[in-house]
Amino acid sequence: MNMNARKSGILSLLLIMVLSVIGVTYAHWSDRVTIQGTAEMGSLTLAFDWVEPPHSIEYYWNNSQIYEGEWLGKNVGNCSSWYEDEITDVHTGKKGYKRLVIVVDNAYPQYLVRTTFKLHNIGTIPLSLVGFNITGEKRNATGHLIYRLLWYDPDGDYIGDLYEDVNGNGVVDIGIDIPVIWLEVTNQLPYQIDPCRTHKCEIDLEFYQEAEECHTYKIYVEVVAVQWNKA
Amino acid sequence: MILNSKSLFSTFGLLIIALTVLGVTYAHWSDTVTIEGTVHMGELIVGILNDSLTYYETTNGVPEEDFTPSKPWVANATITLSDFETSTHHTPPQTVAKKLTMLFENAYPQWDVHIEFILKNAGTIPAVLVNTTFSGFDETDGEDLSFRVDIEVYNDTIGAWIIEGALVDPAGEVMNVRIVAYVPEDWQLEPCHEYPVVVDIDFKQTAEECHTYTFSLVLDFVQWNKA
Repeated sequence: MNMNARKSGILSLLLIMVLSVIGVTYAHWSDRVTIQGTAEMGSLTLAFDWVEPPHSIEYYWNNSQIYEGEWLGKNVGNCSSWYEDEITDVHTGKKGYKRLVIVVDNAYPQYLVRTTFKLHNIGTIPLSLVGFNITGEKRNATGHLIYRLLWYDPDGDYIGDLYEDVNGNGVVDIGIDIPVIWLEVTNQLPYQIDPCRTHKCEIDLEFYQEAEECHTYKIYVEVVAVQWNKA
Repeated sequence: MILNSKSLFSTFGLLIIALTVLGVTYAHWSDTVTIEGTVHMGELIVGILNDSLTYYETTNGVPEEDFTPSKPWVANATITLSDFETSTHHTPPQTVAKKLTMLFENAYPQWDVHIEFILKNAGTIPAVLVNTTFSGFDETDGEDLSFRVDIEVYNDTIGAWIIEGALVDPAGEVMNVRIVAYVPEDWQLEPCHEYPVVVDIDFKQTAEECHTYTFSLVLDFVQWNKA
């Protein structure tokens, strides 16, 4: 019994020694090169400014000039604006808003509203403002959709008209479709905003004679920005 | 008793003389050949040649500082060599790095990094690449990255392996990678030879914002006769 135990002990020891020798030999005669990488991606986030709220002011025309307020000092129409949809850039922790709401009540032809707002790059990558997607709709007093509004701006300078798409074909047909609102947006495009920087913009609305009474016009302006190297 | 001891001494004396004579005689009729061995073992060291690393960054193929306005601060690459080993056999002694570490900060699509280095067999034994192991991880989403090989071809004209592919995660491609390794087709690296390697990395539009991707490529070499 003792003899057997000794024998197997010696055998195990021998085996361990042989394996170690083989192992050491293999390890010494191989080599390794490691390429290691870490990529921390940046963020591209355009927002309406967290600090400065938007501001809407009404104007009226007189002798080809515009003046603040309303004709003869009356208070007929009303305009207001605010930001909604709060967001936080997960990279920088900075806050902002994704939506600017402009409400014009009791509007009438030649009533002009100018709204200033501030865009803020709260991400880490410079961005370029490259355009605005402008759409809209006309609803009646019960909320029923009457027409979609089409943006008409042949020279692309973001000074143009919103037309009621009377024939519903999605294309502005002069003489058939009806222009109801004049619209102008700040148009220094493309415009670069570096991270942490802001850019003040303005959007102006004026209502034409053709705008219909007691109806509601909803206008959507989407600000399009891309990473600075894609503008 | 005294007589017995005397004869015993005499017998011992005789025996000693006889053995001595025999011994001397034997020594005279023998010879010796000596085999003496000294083995100078070789050395197997493969690495990236110290001071051979260069890299530069571009955006859409143009350095960030060449844009108008220039923005050299947007993304940043830091690439370093470490785990140095100096060969003892090479004359003059040659130091190579066993590890290349890349850190890309604030990366964005179409930002590119171009890296060049020299792979060197700094030892005295030919070495052969026998295995490559890729691993990658999207630290933000907790997902594995894989390396998709699109092209893997040996170009005889330039004498280089060309490998093109992309690091991909479930959201899509993170970065395109192009490697041109000016090595023999069988990846056998001869001692004292230098093999330039060019790596181009191009971040893709599908790379996710604010994510951190980690990846590593391990190259295993063995002595040439064990491959």
